[in-house]
Amino acid sequence: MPSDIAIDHNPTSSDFHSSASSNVPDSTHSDSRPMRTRRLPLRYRDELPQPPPSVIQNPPAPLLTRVILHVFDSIRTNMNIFGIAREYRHRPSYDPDQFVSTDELSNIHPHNTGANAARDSDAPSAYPTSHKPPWPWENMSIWRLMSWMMTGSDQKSQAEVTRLVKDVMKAEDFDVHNLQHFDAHTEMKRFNVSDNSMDPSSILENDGWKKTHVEIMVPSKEKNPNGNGRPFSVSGLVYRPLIAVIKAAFSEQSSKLFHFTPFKHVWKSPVTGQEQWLYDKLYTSDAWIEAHNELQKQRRDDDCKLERVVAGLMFWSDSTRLAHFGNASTWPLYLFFGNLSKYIRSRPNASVCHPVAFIPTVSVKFNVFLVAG
Amino acid sequence: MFSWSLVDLLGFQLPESINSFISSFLQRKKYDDVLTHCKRELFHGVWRILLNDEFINAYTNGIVIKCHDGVYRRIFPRIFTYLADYPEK
Repeated sequence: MPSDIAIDHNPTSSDFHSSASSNVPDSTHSDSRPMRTRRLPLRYRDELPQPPPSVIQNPPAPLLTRVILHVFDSIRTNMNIFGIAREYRHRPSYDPDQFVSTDELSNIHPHNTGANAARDSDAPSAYPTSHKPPWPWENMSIWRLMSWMMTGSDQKSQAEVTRLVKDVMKAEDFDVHNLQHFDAHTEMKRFNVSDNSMDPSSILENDGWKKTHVEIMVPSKEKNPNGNGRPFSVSGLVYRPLIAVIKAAFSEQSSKLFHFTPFKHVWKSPVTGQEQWLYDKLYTSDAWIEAHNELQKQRRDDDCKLERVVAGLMFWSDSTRLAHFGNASTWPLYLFFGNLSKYIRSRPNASVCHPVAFIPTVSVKFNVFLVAG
Repeated sequence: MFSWSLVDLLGFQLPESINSFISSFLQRKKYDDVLTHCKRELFHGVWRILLNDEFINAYTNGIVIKCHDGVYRRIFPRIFTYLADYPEK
């Protein structure tokens, strides 16, 4: 696993690498002495990350590839080049890492940009809306062009231009004749106006947002047999029920990379041969393994045989200012899933962050009133 | 059904009615304490709503979800981390 290995990469070092790693004998060398294996100085050697060893791909048959311990049906993968193996308490039903390619672990290979662009274009649009393309534009050609402009990178690169040709110009419904009076400024205006005409409530309700009020008790220093203070209702909490968010997250496409079974990362020192646990993901932590084992032991009355899986919730909330001037701010509560590798979770464009609530804040008016009172 | 607007998401103001409500019993010098208390109550109130009975039931008994690979699994939500700063200082 790449974890914390800093990859110092520049074109010269890669040139060194390729020329030195191919041990071609020098033909001009007429000497009969045995050839020396030439190796790069340590500082030029570049260890690229490797995909983690796969667990499920070829089940029991080839015993050579893994060691099966007799206790608990534990399973340990073979080690990768960094001497890291995974150890499961029981055989996992699903191994998301079989989908992880080297490209996703390292940003050294430039050819992955094309793949990324293709994936972006497959992504569903941010707003589930009843309007069908080419809305709000006149025809599909303008729709495609404007969509291209507003999506992907904001600094158009080679990959972006490739995307322009592939997704826009080569599209069946693209016709240059439709663009006779095209002007990006005018079309952008049309887009902005269309934004206003959309009903925000339908967007929110489509995503299962709910609105409610919060009851709080304000201390009143009065003697009250029924409890502490007087009830006051704060309205304006906008939220999504957590269970709905979890259900959606586990059934949607991005859950392809979810880890259902925790495991231990083992590193074997090449020098001393000693083994050490590595803690690098939420699903390799003791807490997760403990929670997981606890669940497996849980007795059920209904005799349910389904696999029991931990959904690792990671909440994050922070008050956010929306403008440089004024008091416009919001206090969102986000949910990430620890089942996902941190390398994917922390990508800004991975779409794995789920907003679950917008918490009402205590207002300026409240202050003004209290000072006056 | 509620009526919605984007203002609901972006900013929230306590209603004017809170003025008369609190001034009926609050003295000026207690202002900071009460405000802090209210904010904390509000925060806990929000979490009481989020961690509702449905969530507690899922926590103990799990919820059956058909995962994207077509396999039904029983999912148990567990809270591992909560990253936040204390709002409004």
